[in-house]
Amino acid sequence: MKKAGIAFLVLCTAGVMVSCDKDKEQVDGWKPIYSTEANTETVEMKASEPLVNPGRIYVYENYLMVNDEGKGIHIYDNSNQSNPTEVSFIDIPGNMDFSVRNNMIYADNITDMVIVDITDASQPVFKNRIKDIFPVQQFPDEFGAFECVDASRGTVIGWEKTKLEDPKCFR
Amino acid sequence: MKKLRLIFAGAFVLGALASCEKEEVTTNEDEVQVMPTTKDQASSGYGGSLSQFTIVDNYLYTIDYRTLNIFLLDNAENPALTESIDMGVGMETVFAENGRLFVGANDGVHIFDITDPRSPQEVCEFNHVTSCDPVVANDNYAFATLRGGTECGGSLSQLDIIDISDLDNPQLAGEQFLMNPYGLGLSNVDPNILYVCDGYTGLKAYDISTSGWNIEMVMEKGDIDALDVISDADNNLIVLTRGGIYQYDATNPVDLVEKSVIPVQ
Repeated sequence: MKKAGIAFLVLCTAGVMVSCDKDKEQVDGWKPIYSTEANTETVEMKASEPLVNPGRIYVYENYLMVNDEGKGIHIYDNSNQSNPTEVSFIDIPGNMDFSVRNNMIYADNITDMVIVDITDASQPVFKNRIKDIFPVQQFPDEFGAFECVDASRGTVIGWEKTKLEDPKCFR
Repeated sequence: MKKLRLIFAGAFVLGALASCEKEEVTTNEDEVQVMPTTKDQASSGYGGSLSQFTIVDNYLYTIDYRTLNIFLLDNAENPALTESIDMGVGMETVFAENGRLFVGANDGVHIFDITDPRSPQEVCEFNHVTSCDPVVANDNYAFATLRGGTECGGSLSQLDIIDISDLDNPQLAGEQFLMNPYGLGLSNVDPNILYVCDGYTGLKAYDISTSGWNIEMVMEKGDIDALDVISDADNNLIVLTRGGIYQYDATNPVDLVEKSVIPVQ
């Protein structure tokens, strides 16, 4: 395990060295998406929202649920699989994942967990928030170069692919 | 460059090492089999293989880049964090099957026994080169995709087939070369069919009846940029793609008939 760690470190160093001899070249990488919402704790129920960047799929009873990365959860009535229809969208800033049991959605909202009741899927009801469960991740999920996080610009709710010039942060 | 190659060679040697630190797991025969593609009980749902949250009975397991958290859901509106395990390694996905948790991490596949659901015991670890790797499993084999390239730290993209029939000694049983793999899932219609989402090269299906080096690709659907898959009840196949959510009639699991698309806008 330790060996693997060292090998990885050496790999990283080698990676940095390789990237050094291409000065000012643009490289593929990731940049943080900062929350534009004043209150990242506001969970809002909407009738529907366009699907932008689907990240997770989930089946619960006759519903097909889709996480839109960093935005929230679409709920589609999937009783007719040839014609799924959106019955509601739960706007959860920073949301990346969720699971459902007994009509309760358990979802991440940046560092918190939120619980939403979907007994009536077209009228979801916010139930509870458990604070500070998840760590703040200051780097993207994927490896490579990324734009360093600037905490003064807000809370990081996701990462997007971009071209970076002379990136300072690597993973 | 030579140095790099050497390091990769070193990483491969490491990759072949599989370690099991703890004693053999006693699988509870009476345990209800938990498949990702069937409901573990009437009241819970199920996700694709990229999930970082999964529910088994009345426990919710979540992973993030460093911790495996276990929540007891008996009080549905107020889950209780019962355990938090610092893994010391980047984790990508969590998958539950037959009393085990399979965690896809940057350094390989970690297998936990959850006979005592609130206290997962790591029984086995199958290391490989650094990469991104969702994992699914049946009783005897785990299937993990390794997505290499600069994004994920490794160099190779492939499907690993790991024989887990002896958890003390997990063995690499086969490999398939892939281009840009993400999620994967076993067919609900035919347990010998494994779907693999190979990113921009599409959705592939493999016949795994010969599990190992001889598994054969039996379908390649190149018109979608496939990221994850759920083989649902009613022969329905749900595929997450960059373009939207596709649903197919998979009555014939290798001849998919499109039913609907929820397009990305």
